[in-house]
Amino acid sequence: MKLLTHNLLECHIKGVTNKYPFLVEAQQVEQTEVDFNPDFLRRMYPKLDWKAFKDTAEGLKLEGLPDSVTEEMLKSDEAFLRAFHHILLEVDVEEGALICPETGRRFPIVKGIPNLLLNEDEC
Amino acid sequence: MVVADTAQAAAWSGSWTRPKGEGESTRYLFIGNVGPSSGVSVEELRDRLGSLGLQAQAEVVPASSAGAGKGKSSKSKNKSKKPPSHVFAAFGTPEDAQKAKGELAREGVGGKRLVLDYALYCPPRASASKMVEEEVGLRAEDLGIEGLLLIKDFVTEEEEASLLSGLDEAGEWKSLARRRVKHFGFEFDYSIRGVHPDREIVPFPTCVNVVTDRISRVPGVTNENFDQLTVNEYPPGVGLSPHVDTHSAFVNDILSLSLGSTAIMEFRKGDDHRRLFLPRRALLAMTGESRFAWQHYIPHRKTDRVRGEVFKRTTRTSITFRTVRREGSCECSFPEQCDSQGAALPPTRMLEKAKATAEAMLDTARKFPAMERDHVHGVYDSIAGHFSATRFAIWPEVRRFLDAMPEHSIVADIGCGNGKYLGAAKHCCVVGGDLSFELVQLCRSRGHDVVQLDCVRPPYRKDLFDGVISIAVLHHMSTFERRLAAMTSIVKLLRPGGLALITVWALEQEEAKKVKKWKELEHADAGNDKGVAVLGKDYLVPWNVPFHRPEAAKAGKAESGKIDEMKGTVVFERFYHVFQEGELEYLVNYIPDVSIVRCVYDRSNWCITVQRDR
Repeated sequence: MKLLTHNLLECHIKGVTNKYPFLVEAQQVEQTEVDFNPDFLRRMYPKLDWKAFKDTAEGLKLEGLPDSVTEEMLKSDEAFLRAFHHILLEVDVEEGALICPETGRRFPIVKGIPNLLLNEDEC
Repeated sequence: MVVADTAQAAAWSGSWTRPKGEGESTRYLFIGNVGPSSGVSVEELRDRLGSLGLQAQAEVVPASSAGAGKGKSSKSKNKSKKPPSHVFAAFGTPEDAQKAKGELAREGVGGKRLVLDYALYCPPRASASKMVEEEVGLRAEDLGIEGLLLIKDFVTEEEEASLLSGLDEAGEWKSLARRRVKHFGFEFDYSIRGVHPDREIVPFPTCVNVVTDRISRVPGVTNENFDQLTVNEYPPGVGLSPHVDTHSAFVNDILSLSLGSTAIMEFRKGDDHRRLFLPRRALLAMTGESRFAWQHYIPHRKTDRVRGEVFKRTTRTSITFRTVRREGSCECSFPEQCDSQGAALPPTRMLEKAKATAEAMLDTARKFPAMERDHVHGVYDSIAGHFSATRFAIWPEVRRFLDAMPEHSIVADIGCGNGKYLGAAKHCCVVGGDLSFELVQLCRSRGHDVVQLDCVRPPYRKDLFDGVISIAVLHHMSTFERRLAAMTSIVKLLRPGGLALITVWALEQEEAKKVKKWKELEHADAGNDKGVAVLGKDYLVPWNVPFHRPEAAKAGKAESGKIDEMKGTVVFERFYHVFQEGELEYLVNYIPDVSIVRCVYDRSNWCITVQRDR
């Protein structure tokens, strides 16, 4: 599971209000190489919840993301864009879990795939 | 045409009572013992009253047409089988009434005695009665509404007759709650209050040519051509609910020709009500403010009263000409009534009811039914590899949808199967998931970042996605509630303005011999008490895995697989709810804040594109 996917997910248990973001518990993290595309990052930035992205990255001991992003940085700060690209698209949680911030429910990540199926009492 | 009897009845449509004070005289009399069962006829009574030398002529009012006396309502009176044996008489003055009472009490009529008493007449209250005289314009100019035009005698009586018979023969009647309709050019969809511009139906019948030729020359009409025709047939007593024709659906002017009967059309803007008498064979043109800013409607009643004349309604047929908006949105100067400019369409009863039903149903929809566990989830996990090997073609409708997404859109593929669409749009960021772990693993092995999810409750952020696709997924949901919940969830993922493409197997399959191999089930919604239509069909559809496939060996252990020695395959049965034409639209109708953009049939599938409104 990449952090881009993580940023788009929220806990869907019935009645949960504090649902975002999932906490990430990582037992195994892989790196995959992805072509660098700054245009994609520029377009994706407004869709992302930057704070959730940065906090999650820090939880995974991935440093280098600023608290806030300026237009200038998106436009021409190569070092920033490289870090943004790497953490968003190349970091891959292979084994671990997503944890609901409200209930603590653990959704296991197996072979890189989070199992987000709910039990009947959670629907 | 004046209907005299009705006019007289209407003049006495109030109620009769006794005076409160004992012996108080009025100018009205209750006269008992008059009528077929009592020997004194109304005519004899009238003659006798005429011979009394009264100052003014008395009027005899039969009890059957007057509001019934003695505290009974006219409704209950109508139900009683016995003809009334009394009448009322109205005199010019109380003195006349007093004189008549004295004479009739002394001599009776034709030697027969009468029961006599003073009566009081209460005229109908303005708000309670439909027969109250209201100010009704005879010309459009009388109403003072900009853009309203009424052209009398737009067609001749002969033309009217040939139009009525021609329209009756052309096309098919569709029944609505209280009237029936026919559509030509484009079908008017009452659930979206518009048409599907990509779906043309039968052309206008030739009998309307005489009208179409003439309407293009009506002054003030700006439509280049009329391409949508609705024929409405109103039985007497049936009207039309207040509405403004949807701005986003139709451009410019609306024209309507009245045939067969008169009616009063009312126009309403805020508290302002204005009325116009529509004669037979008259053309009403609504242009400008009258079309865009005023609601129009026809009260539900059998008789109209216009400046003292009474018009009894017979069957009225209206033919309405409109022009479908093919592109762009309405830019009229009445934004408060313009759905293109963000004004909400007033809720129809149908929509209100649908939303309440949907709300109640969604909660029960989320449980995963045994049917889907055994015949969808379980099967796909067993056949994933073999299934995936057969699924690589990119469907043209999906290609079209993805290609139209702006660059770098975020798209969710809900029920992504083997992930064939996850990489199909290089200019977008497509994420997705599926219920089957085996299938999502396949996606993962192809380099896609996916999750395992249930499409009835997808775990994505709401109001965020530019696009959602759900291809060949909804037909695996085994109940109406599940299908509705899945579609509602998909719509909720979209940002306002975002688009979703949903495709399902069609009931109308191109290869009939394929269907013969399917096992039809009892419809899961049959006999439901949810108040929803039972549409489409439920089937178990076989999936054959040849023995040589690795899945077959695994499948031998699975409970759902059955061995077919003859064919040399392991057979799995997948649950399918196949959708009939119109069923996807029916489902969308239950979902708030969404519009249908396109719905097409493509190779045994129904494909619908919807847009989140707000």
